Amino acid sequence: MGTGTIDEAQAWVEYCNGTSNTYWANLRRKNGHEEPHNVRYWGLGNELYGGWQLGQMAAEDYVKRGREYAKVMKLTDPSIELISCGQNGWDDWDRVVIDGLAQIVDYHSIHIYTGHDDYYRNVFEPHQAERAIRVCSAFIEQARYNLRITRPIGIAYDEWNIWYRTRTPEGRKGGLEEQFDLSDALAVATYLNIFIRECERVPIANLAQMVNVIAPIFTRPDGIFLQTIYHPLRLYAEYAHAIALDPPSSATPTPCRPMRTPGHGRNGSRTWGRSSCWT
Amino acid sequence: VSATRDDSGKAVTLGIVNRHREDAITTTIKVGGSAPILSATAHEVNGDDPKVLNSFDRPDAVVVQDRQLTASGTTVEITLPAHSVTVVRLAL
Repeated sequence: MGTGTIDEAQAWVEYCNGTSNTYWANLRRKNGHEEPHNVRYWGLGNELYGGWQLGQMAAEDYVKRGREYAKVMKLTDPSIELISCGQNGWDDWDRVVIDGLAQIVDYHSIHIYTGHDDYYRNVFEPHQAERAIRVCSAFIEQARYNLRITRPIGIAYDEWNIWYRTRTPEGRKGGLEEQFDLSDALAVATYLNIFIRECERVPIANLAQMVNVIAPIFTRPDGIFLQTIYHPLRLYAEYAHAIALDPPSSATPTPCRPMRTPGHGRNGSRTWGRSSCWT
Repeated sequence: VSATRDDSGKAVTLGIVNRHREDAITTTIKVGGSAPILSATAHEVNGDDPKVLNSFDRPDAVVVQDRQLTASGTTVEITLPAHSVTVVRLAL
């Protein structure tokens, strides 16, 4: 949505999913794909709140434009599911967008990366993302109540990971090939536990990058190695089952070391607050 | 901690993170109901210290080590080493 047009959005849906004798569906056939690709999930823009995006806009403007994009995309293929562009789940942007687009979207996207050089801060920070999930879910429930929406609206946590070394302007000069240590693997496993516990609120969660850039697999022309975070991802992918349980624990909560109180990071991002959590 | 099961209820997987930097934790996993645990397998992600990372020179600094646990009826005891992730698979 940042640099595209409403016509392009319509064309993409028609090209991917169209079954009629129409221009874009025929172009797909001409390109060798007789059958539609049946792309089911469509995100309405990416991080349009951010100054790093072309086409950055205010939440209210995003709602106005997003509604029109959604309209024409749904008219082209009513079976698609739309995802509104959220921020971190509990920002004002999220509240405005959820209220404005809940009637037409099926999911609300959030992106949060965590990570810190301090060990305990690094391994506990995913719990702050869990709080954001719960607040975002409350925004959604409030909008569903106010707008009398009976179908569910889930969170699509479609960018998450540990990312801090190559995130600063200086850090990213050498590229975004984050080198993950063991503490990052613990944080990733904590995220995976959170996604299982919060599966009713978060039906979709995925890493945005698989190879090299902020990714579990590292390659160069003469070989690959598996980063530390690959291992919990592989184990959970192979062995976690489809039904989440709610295991009671007789353990006492572990008090975390107090974190610095909220301030602002180098990119204007908020640092995380104080925390006390379950292991 | 997380726990999941399959449709039959006979396969359960736990994901457990011990984030303590120095201390191991020994704990007991107990499954509800009367079905005994037939087998228990632990897959542990760990390394020498929390700052260790994999690289082309040392691709196996952090790997997965598998081990069988000894179950007793509906319980199984497990020791989770410092700074480790353990995925435990139970067959009931």
